[in-house]
Amino acid sequence: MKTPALLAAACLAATAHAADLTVEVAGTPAATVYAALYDSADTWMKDGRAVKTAVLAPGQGRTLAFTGLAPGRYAVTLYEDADGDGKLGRNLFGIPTERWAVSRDASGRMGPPPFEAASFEVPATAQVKATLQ
Amino acid sequence: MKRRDFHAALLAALAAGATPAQPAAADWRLGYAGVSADLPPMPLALRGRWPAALQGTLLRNGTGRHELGGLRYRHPFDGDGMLQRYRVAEGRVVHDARFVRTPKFVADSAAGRPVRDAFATVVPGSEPVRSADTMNTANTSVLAHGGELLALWEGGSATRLDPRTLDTLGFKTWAPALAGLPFSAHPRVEADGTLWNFGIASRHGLMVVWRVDGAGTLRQHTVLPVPQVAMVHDFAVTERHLVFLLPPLVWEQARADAGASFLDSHAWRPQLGLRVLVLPKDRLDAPRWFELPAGFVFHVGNAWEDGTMIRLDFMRTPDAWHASEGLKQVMQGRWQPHACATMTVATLDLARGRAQQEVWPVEAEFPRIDPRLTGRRHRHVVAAARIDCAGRPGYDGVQRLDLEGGAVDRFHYGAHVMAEEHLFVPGGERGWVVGTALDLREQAMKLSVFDAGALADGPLAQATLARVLPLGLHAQWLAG
Repeated sequence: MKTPALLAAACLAATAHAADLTVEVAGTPAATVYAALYDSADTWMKDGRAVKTAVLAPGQGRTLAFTGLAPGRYAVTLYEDADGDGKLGRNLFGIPTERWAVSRDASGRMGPPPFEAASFEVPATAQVKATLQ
Repeated sequence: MKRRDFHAALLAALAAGATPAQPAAADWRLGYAGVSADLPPMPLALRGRWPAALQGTLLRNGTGRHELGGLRYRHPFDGDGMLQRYRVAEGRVVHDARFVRTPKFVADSAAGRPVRDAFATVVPGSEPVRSADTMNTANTSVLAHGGELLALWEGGSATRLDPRTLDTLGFKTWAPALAGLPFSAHPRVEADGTLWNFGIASRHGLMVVWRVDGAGTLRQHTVLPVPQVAMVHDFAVTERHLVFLLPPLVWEQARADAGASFLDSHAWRPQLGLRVLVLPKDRLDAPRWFELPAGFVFHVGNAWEDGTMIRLDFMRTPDAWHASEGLKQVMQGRWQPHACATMTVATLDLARGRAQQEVWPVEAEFPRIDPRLTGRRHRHVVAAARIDCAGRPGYDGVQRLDLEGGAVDRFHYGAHVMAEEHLFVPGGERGWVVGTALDLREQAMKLSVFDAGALADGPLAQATLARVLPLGLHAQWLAG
């Protein structure tokens, strides 16, 4: 078990390298937007595997923030919860029926964009854009 | 002739109102020029005696816009859906046309050039295709059912239209979990109003089956995997079964991954034969398979139960050359002879598990039957005819084929007239056949009505529209 002094030192060290990320949500959201931040291709878009989540309520502007991030590679996915059920609607084939977006507006061909295409380096990148479609 | 040169020359000729100085066989390109905007109402000049009991609207869907911003689509099935409406009331006929405002039409129009891929065209720099409805052109057919008017495509959703104004109301969602799933352009409506339809999701290797009641409520749906899923455009229902013909034009994911268009992601694999999938209506999870000799099929006439047999008729080509190659040449103004679709009659022996077919030597396409006989024994099939137009694509006549005996009653418009799909409308003594055609000499459209039992006598009445329209696809007659 670490001593309080070491803990304090560890916290100070983490804070010194932690970075903030702003996500610009384009596409004129008209309902609550739920965002999830992932840090690896293995966990990308998997339920419960996001390292952080954030919410943008209607009328609260067009950006949301993830703070205190350790340096590394990340990607963001978000969706507009038009039916208010707290999850991304999908049809029988698993294709989303509500608008969604990924960081860097990366594209996939008839499927989710890969982590690599959507990802960016923190702290080198302080702001990314994702457009709801 | 380069794409742009062909287009510029054609537009110049059309604008000048002049007939291009070429033989009739070459004028056929007028049918594939396309238009770029809605067409305001225009009256037709009517000759002959239009049946007083036949009041209503012929509503035809089809690809209306074939090019934008200098990019001409590669296939006649790529273009944006446009509803053409011929309204017949009190001795007057009026035509107008409206494009379906799909998200693709809106995005492409705003950009002044296509920004989304089409059926057979990969657009340079196009937006990513997130789901089939991203590239939905709503261009193939039209359906009035359950109080709604729907423009039909096949790769994705149907599109709701305002029946009076033809305004676009948005994609049709039958149930939230089924949003965006494919709904084919050939639903079958039974006498009690029950609608059956299917949809092929090629990338997923799945087929959806839909059942909607006469009031327009979805009652049942099912999804089943289809090995080596093929391009399936049409199907048939009988009293107890659903019947699908799967030509050996099959989806190959490797081609799609390499960036091929939707059409070009299919490969011709004749060793698979023409597979026939039969689903009992009360056991949609119990498919039965039959096999016929390899061939390509767009359209099915009808099917019915005959004891332990199912009898069906369809229009068959020996291969998919026209669909996958010939029609691309047509878009470039080129035509070469290649076996065209002929009437084919098949029998599925449910007891013995065998299928056999008889190919008629009658070139025919766009089969239509008396809608009251859907899934029941029918005797006649109305179809477009190729009588004397070997030098060009398309049709030049209309015919009625008699399944009992093989007789053919037909009317020849002439090689200079490109006949479109003609439909059977019940009423009067023997019903009527109604259809449109592009007259290349007059550069006008012709709307004709025939006594269904006497096509050879020619039209009872014919109305002329002094404008050239893009050749359309499937139509419905809406009474009143």
